[in-house]
Amino acid sequence: MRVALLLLSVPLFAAGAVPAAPKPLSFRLDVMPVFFRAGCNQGGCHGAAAGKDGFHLSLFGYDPAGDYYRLTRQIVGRRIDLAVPEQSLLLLKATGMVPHSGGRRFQPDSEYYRTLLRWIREGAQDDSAGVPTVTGISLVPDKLVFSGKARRQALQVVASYSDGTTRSVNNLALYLTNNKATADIDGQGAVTAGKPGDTFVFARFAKYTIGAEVIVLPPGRFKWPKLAGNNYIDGLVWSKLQKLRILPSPPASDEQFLRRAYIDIIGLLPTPEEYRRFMRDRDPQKRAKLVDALLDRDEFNDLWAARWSEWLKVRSDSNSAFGTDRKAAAAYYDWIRDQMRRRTPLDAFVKAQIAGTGSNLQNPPVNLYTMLPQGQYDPKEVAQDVAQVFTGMRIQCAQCHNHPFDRWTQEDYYGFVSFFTGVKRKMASEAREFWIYDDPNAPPAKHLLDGHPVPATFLGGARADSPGKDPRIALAEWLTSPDNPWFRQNMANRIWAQFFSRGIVDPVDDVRISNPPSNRELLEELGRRLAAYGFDMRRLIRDICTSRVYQLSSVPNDSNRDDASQFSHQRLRRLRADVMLDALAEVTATPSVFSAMPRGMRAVELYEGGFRASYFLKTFGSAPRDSVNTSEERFEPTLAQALHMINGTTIDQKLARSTVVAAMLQSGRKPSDIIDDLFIRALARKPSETEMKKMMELLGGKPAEKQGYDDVLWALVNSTEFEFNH
Amino acid sequence: MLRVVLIAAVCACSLTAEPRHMVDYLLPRGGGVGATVTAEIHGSFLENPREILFYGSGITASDFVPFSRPGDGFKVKFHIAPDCPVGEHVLRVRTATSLSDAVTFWVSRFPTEYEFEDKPGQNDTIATAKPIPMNVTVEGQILPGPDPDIDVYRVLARQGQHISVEVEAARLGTLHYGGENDLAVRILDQNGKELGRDDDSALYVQDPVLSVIAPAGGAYYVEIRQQIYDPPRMAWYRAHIGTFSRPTAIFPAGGEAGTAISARILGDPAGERTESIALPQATGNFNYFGDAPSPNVLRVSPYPNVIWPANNAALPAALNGILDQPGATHIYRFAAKKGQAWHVRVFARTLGAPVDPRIWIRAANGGRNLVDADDSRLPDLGRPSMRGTWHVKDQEDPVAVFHAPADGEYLLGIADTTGAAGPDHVYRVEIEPLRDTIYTHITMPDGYQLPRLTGLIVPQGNRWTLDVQLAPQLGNTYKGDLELAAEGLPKGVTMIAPRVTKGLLRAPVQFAAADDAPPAAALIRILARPVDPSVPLQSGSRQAFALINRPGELPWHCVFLDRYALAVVDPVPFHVTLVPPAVPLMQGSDLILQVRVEGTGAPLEVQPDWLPPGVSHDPAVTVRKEGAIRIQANDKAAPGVYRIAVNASTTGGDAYSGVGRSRVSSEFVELRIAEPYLSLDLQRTSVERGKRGEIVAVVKVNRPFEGKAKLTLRQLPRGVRQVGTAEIAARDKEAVLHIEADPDALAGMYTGISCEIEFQEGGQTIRSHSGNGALRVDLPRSSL
Repeated sequence: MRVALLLLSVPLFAAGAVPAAPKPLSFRLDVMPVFFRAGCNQGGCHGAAAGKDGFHLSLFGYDPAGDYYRLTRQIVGRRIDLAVPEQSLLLLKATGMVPHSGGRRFQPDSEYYRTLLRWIREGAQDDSAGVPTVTGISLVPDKLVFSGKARRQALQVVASYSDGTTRSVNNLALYLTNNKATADIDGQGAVTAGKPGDTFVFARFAKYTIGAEVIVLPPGRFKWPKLAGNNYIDGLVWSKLQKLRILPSPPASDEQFLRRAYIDIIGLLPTPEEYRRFMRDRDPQKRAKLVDALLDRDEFNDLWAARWSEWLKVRSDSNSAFGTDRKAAAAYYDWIRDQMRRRTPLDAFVKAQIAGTGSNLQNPPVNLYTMLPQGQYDPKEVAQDVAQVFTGMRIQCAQCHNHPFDRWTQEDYYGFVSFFTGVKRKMASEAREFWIYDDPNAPPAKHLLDGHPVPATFLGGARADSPGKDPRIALAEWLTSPDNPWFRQNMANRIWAQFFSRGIVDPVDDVRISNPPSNRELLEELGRRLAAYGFDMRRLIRDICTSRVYQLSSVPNDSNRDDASQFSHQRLRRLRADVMLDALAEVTATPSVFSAMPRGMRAVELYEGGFRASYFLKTFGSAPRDSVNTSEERFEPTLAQALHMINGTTIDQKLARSTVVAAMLQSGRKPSDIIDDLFIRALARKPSETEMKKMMELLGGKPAEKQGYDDVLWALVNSTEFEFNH
Repeated sequence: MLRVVLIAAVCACSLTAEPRHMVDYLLPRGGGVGATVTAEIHGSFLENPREILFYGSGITASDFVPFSRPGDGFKVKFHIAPDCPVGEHVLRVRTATSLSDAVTFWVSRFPTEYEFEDKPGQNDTIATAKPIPMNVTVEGQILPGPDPDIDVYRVLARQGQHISVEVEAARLGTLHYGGENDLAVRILDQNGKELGRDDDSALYVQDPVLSVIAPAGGAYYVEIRQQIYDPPRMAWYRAHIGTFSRPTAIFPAGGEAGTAISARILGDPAGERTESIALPQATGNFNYFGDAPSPNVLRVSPYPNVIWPANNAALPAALNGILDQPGATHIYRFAAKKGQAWHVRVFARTLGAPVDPRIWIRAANGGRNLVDADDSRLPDLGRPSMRGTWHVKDQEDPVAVFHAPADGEYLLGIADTTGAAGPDHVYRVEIEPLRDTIYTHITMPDGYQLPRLTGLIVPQGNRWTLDVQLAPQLGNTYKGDLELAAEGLPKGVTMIAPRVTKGLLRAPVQFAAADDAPPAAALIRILARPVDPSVPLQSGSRQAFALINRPGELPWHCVFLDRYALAVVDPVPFHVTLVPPAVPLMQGSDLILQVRVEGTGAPLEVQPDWLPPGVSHDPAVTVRKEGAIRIQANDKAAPGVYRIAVNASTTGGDAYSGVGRSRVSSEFVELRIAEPYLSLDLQRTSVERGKRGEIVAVVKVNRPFEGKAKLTLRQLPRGVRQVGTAEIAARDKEAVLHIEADPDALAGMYTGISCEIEFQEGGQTIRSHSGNGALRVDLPRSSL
């Protein structure tokens, strides 16, 4: 159903009942939105912390009282001229009648001008107490489907107020689109279709942002084939693809699936023996069997311990003055890995960290409060990191102003910070050991604006009723509750991203209204399933890895070539740095050696991560663990990577030390067998005939010498196919 | 195929600023009672060892056998008496010319079994475990190298028998610097099933303790390894393995002197038991061993116990409880009278209980907390601290002084800071009258042992000056003058100690060895005594040193001593004399000290030993016969008469630590710090660019002086200079100093202009500074 609504001009009166005589304009309801819409209070203009050209407005209007003061009282008679309202500097500047760094923001004949002028003429009054506040906005329609390019449709933005009234605010709202090529939106909320695809457009008014999905269908006829599905994931993805008229790629081959599953689930390549066993297996359920077997491998725990250690910034500082000694990092990592081994449900895993108390060496999960800060304890930073890691939401913008692209206000922010203001840390029995505990008498965080204390409050929810108690206990319960969609969906999304290198919300740690999931139904179902599984991540991973969606080929077809977000084909995904180094060690059977680490440790087991431990790992983008941002891990190619693979010491030394080829030569295996084996070790497949021919040529007529095979191996590990999961 | 091989040149230089030590380490790390152990002392400048000075009783040394390079060390036999106290023994080596830094040797009640592992893998698994009898102390090593070394020992136990392990590793403090040796222990059955594990312990911090009950008769395995791999460096350990009971706490943790307490022995896997423990008459710490290799420390007090849940205390008293309920606070009630001062100290973590206590005191009828104490500083516990760079577990226990503001009832609450609780979370709060106490400390800058400063190495017929720090203890009210007295000086040695005037916290003392004083080492005390002997004042000597110092970190093991070591050594062929300064050192001025050395003519480094607060000196000078050292007093140096000396040391060895050097002091001479002869008040004035002007100095003569003083302006702004010279005599009331401003002098207001005053006195030029003037540089009037 589509609803066509007329755009109304400002100022607008309550839609419910038009008064007999016009009311005076409201500063908050009528004037402030003009500053917002005209961009006056943006960060680059007067909304900057220090204002602009001597005039400061609160960023995006979070402080109307302050803005009123600055307009009317800070320099009396300058910005507002009650005697000659048209000569008010506010109007002259905004219309470019006098020099203005921001240029002309609107015309003298615009509604915005008329609103400001009328307000000044009416005495530039502040609002009386009890002025209604905006309680929400809605978009009509909230979903648009275009069947072709250049078609247009108008959206209606309706604001609801605390007095029960509503009004159309199309003229006052701000608009943005997530993909201008697919859907553009103009200053009045009219959407124009672009190239085929799926995206979102948004409207922002007051402190609210709301989005509408826009689908632009491709031209031509489309017939959805009958596709089998292994589980609910397939159904939800197929459903979305069908709407978008995108055909999924065909299933991947057994060889492709084998290598993909090994890398994604345990961070290793299959050995030649494992390859042959799987390829020989004729059981139609062999893929599911493999997934189950891999989920039982201890390397699965290593991989997820590494993942969590990145997200939680597990690393030691150069000194232990803040509880970040190497032993604390190791204890935290060991605890994380142990939880993975014990199959601790994710809710319990998170709870133990959030509400932890005690020694950071004896009760390692309390290291959440040493590792996240990595230095002096700041409850604000910890609150931000906790929100980002466990809900995927970034609330830090709301520290200084209401979040411009999300729902979070400063009240939300400081209420969440108050869960952590009582956390105390102090040295315990020795330099490396810190006590972490809560002081229930600690005051809550103070609001930046006026310093009023904001008691601990769940994000977007109720106050934590925990006087005299550690509020983190209530927070941990609320956060990890199966009813909390943010936690369960964030966990599900992070798990999903491990197998597609892309979240359904992407990046996984930037969940906001203006960054909606590419397949909301899928994300919600995964979250529900995870909670229903008692937060057993293995069960969800089994669902994902046994789905047809996961097992699709990475080769695109004509219809899904441009699809990057709907999982219609697998993506080419470069291996994580540590997985790649371990793969090199595995292929050459030469364990890596890391400084101050025991011999035999794999890169993925480096409890402080690889960034500081190895040039290779740093070069290939290991996360430095300086922040909780998932973007810390880098996958883009660099010249240094290419040079290191070609000329660097890592491969060269591994080949020099490797006895793989020598052992095969010694056992009298045929050259083609050896080359077969090297292909399987590196790529989990046999060479094609052409490849075999070229490789045999590389042996240079000396099939009994190691050098030629080393060259083959060198070429294999330098291939794109080796570096990528596909 | 093109392959380019890049060679990375790695410079593995280690540039640590590690001070040198005479004794780097001592092996083996210990021995059993009744045994004779051949110890190897490794280090530098260890030629001609004469004596091992033990701080405790029970060990004697004999049969010194130098290494092939005698300076590198020697072997010596340690005879450990059957009744030798077990635990840590601190020792130093006296050679013919020196006294070494302190190291430790550990005595066990059990015989020692040596591991004898050459390379990792020899006893790393159950299959290759080294069989040992029960009730031995294994001395082993986590071998260095990239392959983690695991040491496994096989013992036989009967069903129901204790299998207990207590590891000494970090505590051994094998190295002065580095060598963090953090071990963990597991006990396994013959199938490899883990019966117990421990990494750190409340009792011994990094060192684990573990006790299990054998579920069946048979073989069991004790596995010792690093908790996390850290490249091992001299990672020696001594593990007591046996059938002993290893309590984690005893309740109550002490009692009244001379009584017997009915003690609950806690933390034993066989369950709690009760024993009667007879306490000695001597108050303080009392080591209760039972059959364990290390004691549980109990407190002996001259007042009775109050045992929770009884909570009414008549002070003085010791409050005893167990925080066995999470988040619990135990509240005691006591009466106090206005003006009373009570010393309140908690013993919990100090005794090895897993408690982090905090206390508060408030009036029973409400109001704010009068005392709120959590952690303590080392000095509050009566121990020296290297400027806050040391930390021991005892500091988790609070200490406070409670001054009762009025007659009445008060409440004392005690809780665990983190709300933790457990059956062995034992605490004891001792509340006793506050006593004035001033300890003496020997301070070691940077936390390292520096023979240069604290060696107390006195060559026969010579002297050594020591900087003694006075440490008033928490709540001390004695503020008067002090005398320093020595106890335990060896024959032929005297201590010369000037009176310590009120307010001074550092003072020099000298030890003079007679020509015929026999070479010997001794443990002495230096005690602070009030000038009026009727005034009660407690005193003692406190020294400490740290082992396993870490770069930029807190050391792992601190050793606290209550005596200082002093040695008389062979004579050196030189003496140093400080010529008494003929004139006083004025505040804000400097002075040249003349020194003379008599000796072989070899170069000697000479520098002042101790200088009053506010007085500093130039770097050491090298002197063959005569030399001069400049000292400077700041404006705040307190006027008075002080005793100072200089020392002369040979130039070999290590200058910073003093290792490898011989050092002697001059006799004390008097240095008077006086007010300056005069002070100047520089009048505000102005000068025009390109013109001349005057700065008038109003003279205030504090003390008459002879002759004339020359005045030179300092800190003039750029482009302004003094013209001509100015001189004044003691009778002058003011002086005029001429200045000239360049045409391009920077215009503006300038403050902080001072005047250097030069006197000729006692054959030297003495310079002081005075005045704080302001000068305005104006633009030429024509430009206005």
